[in-house]
Amino acid sequence: MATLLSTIRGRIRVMVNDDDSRRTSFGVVKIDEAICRNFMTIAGKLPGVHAEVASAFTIAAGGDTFALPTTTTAQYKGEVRIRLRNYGIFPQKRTVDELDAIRYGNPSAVLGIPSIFALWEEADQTLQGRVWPGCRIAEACDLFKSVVPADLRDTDLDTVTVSLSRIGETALELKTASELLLGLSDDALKLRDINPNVVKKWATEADELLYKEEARIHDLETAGYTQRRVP
Amino acid sequence: MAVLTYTEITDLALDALQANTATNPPFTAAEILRDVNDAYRMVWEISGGSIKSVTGAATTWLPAPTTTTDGRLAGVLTDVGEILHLWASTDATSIGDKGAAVDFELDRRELSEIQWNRSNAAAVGSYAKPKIYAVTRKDTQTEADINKLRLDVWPGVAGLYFPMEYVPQFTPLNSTTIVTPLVNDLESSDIAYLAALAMAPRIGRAELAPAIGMKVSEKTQKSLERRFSALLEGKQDR
Repeated sequence: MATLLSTIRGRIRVMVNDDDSRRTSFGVVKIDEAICRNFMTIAGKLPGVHAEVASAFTIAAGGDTFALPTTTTAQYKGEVRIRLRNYGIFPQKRTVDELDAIRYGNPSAVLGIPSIFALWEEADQTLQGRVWPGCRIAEACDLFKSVVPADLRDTDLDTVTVSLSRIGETALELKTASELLLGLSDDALKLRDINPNVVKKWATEADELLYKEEARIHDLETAGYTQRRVP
Repeated sequence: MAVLTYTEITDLALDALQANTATNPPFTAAEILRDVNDAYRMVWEISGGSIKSVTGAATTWLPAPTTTTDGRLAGVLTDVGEILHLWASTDATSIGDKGAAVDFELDRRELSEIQWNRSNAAAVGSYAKPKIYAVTRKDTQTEADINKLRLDVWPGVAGLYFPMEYVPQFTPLNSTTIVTPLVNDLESSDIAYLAALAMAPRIGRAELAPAIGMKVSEKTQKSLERRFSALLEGKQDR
């Protein structure tokens, strides 16, 4: 589900009693920056969103290295699985050290059907990989990945949508509202008819909702494991 | 009781002074007009002013519509007291009444914030429509440009109009074309009595002042007491 950032902005302004256009405390830019920042914070806490891309890249015949596709907005969050389209098999993921141990003593790539692969991230956040054995023929690969959501500020903030569930959106609103109020003095809060105690209350509610949201996503993706909260 | 006109106000004031006579009148018409406008100014300020809606056409801001993205417009009106609401609109005829799809209300901020946003555009998000505005009074030596405003909006977008609602500046009565004060019925009577209070000492009838003062409405009395207390004694807790 996706909601316009401008809608979330409006909800937050109502929460913090900033809905009088003649006497605003925060300004649109400050509120939007807070929303975008808290969205990335929440995205960092929650499990990554997933995507499957058919024929995402091809490992050349005779080669054993590849680069995962990149975009200017997406970043890989951690989970990567590749599937060789020619055989329908999923090479297993190994560390670079393990792969190097297997390659030890072979001056040129051993070719065959890849059964394992390793990844490493370079300075510009591009992901490079190596398979073993190398590809005897060109191998088109499907890619299943988890990604960090794009920064909302890369798009016009009047039209960008925030892709979170209803629970996630509510957590975002509570978290952003409490952060904005935390920056005000007690006198400023009184002028706005806001009890200072509401700041901590909203922050706590946001944390609880994020935990529930994380549990919800895990419930969707796992196979019956018990959830346990670690404070 | 309707709002009193200028003639009715002057009659009321002169009656209170026992000076409503055509033979050897103690005040000239011009003097009476000045005293009435003095009193009207005070009552108008207490009354809170009225609201005026205008479109964003070339009679309000230039250019209309905006032609560049610099976000700077020159005001045309010379009677703007305080802007209450300002919109960015795609409709030249809108007075802020065309709905959220056409009119986008802007928040009022300091000019310094707008200048900062302009200088640091890469650090803040991008918007397709203006979000904030500031108005400043232009410095000018040209008589016709006195009281004209400069409007700064951020971000600047071409092709938009800026309708607004504002409180106009005080317009005095002139006894010919502007004869009805922009206040309510009780306040229009207050204008007469306050004018009489100011005129009484000048014709040696200061002893009538307390009796005239009792006729001023309670709301105006309390506002004036608080104001004079603040001005003369620095007390503002009444």
